[in-house]
Amino acid sequence: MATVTEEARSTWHDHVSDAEYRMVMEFLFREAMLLDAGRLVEWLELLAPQIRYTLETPRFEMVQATMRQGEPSVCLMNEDMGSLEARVKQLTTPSLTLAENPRSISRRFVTNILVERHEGQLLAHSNVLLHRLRVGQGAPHGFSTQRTDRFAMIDGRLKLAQRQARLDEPMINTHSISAMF
Amino acid sequence: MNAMFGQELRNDETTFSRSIFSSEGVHAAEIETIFNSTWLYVAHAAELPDPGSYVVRPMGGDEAIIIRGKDGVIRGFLNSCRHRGMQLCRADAGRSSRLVCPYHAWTFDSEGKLVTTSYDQHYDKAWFDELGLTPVGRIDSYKGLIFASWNDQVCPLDEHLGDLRWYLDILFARTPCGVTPLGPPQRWVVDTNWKIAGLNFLDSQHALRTHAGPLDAVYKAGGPPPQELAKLVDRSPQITFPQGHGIVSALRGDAPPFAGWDEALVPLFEQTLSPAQFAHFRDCPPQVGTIFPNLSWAEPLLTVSTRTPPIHFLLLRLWQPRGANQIEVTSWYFADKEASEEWRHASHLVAAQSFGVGGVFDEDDMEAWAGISRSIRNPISRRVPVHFNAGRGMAPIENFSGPGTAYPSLLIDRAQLGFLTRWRELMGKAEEVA
Repeated sequence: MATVTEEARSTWHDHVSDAEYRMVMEFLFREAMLLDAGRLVEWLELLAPQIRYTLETPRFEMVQATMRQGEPSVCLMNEDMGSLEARVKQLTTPSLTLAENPRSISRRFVTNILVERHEGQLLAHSNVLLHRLRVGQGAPHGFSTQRTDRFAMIDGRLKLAQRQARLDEPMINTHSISAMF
Repeated sequence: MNAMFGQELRNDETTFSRSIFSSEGVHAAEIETIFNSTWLYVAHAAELPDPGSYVVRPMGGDEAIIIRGKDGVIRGFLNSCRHRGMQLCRADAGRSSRLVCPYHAWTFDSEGKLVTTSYDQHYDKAWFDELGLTPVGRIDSYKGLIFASWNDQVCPLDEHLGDLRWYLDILFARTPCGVTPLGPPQRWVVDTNWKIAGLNFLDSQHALRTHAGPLDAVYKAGGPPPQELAKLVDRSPQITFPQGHGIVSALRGDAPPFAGWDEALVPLFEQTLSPAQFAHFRDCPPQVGTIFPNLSWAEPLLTVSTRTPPIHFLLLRLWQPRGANQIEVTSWYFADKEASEEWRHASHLVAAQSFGVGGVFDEDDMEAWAGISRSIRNPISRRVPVHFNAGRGMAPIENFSGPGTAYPSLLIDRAQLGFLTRWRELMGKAEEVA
């Protein structure tokens, strides 16, 4: 599951044009805006039908006194279009969600965007900080995440085909995620 | 202590003071009377495959290293160097033939024995035998589930688990090789009391309401309509045990036998379990439950997607208190070792989608638990009693197909009351001492 991320960290693939970089950057910013606003049905339209969406977190591990951090990862979310549609339905239907009714106040900060081309597809690496205040919680929670995205062009439009997100939090200090990164 | 529990505690066996779920004073007594006295789950044997494999796990208010020695024996030690008390292991898990303190390099072998202080010329070697790591009082296992206790006088583990073992076989040892964890556990923090979490896993009234969202998806994927599910839940049995454990069983209903299982496993179930266990597993599996004090499991037949058929997954949860109003959750997924890679992957997928810190079931449960804890700790709110009296007059099922005391509905409080009655028995002893 970690292959794309690992590969991308060790190898730099082909460069992309300014126009392609701008297209990906705008995609990520627009996506963050839709997620922040709770416009999740519109967010689904940004995804390719074959979307694979995973969220992992590392754990601290010591092997023969060598500190390893990152592998093996703990799986937190592993989604396809069907499960994402179900999530969106739950999160956008007031009678079906306790966690997001009333909706949390969310703000995503997307930074450190790198775009490259690999095997004919656009690949983007980005960091996202989700600042979220949930009803009843006195203090906001900050989710720091690193993402590697693979894009597909479908009918001339850029779609997200794969997202591997990695949360920087082995012990998650809030009671649920109920959000997309 | 008496005043803290509130007078209503004594008036009615089904009535409790809310302060038992929020008072730091009550919790301090619980640490001594329950967590430092009884058996606590610490690990599954498959998490410790090799000599030197270890995990660091909470045990009551302390932290323990659970490690497999080079002799193959699994032991537990306080995670604290015998020299100056430094946390010996600061990672979540690892493998090492020796545990070396990062402060002054006191070095212990995997059996906890002090090997060197690094400055042995200034120490009396005769002391070394007494300066090994502080062991847990007892450590034992049942079908791969490792439990430890700080109390060396604790009753045998078999006695603590009692008749629940019959059902634990069905969950954890129903094939020749048993189950294995699917990766390291998820860990997260919830602002609630540990008993609220354990009781939730014996509560079915909330399931139909709080989980209306994902149950709607189950229905759309071909599962029972909500009204049918409610009827099935109302006639499925819940089971209680004198040790405080409880089970939420689920009648199969119209689903075909062993729907949602890897078909190749079914003959192994039949071969491994007794005929009575096999029949029970087929018709009325122990779907959800809590092992007193702070371990729960779930093995539902679920999907969250209209595009994926329902499948089983096995979840094990540790509710570790961090004071009266916060818990640290450790959550594992398991699968039978003999299950196909394909089935195991599909099971893990639905498990993470539904039950976990990112799961669509848990996100609403946790919201409710945190909401309870925000309310009941408050000055007026904590004076209001809390009742567990649904199904109070209901008689147990006669000649039930498994051990334990079973009641014929999941929409009553008998299993939750059984848990709290055991809690009260143990805490009552603390009151007498206090």
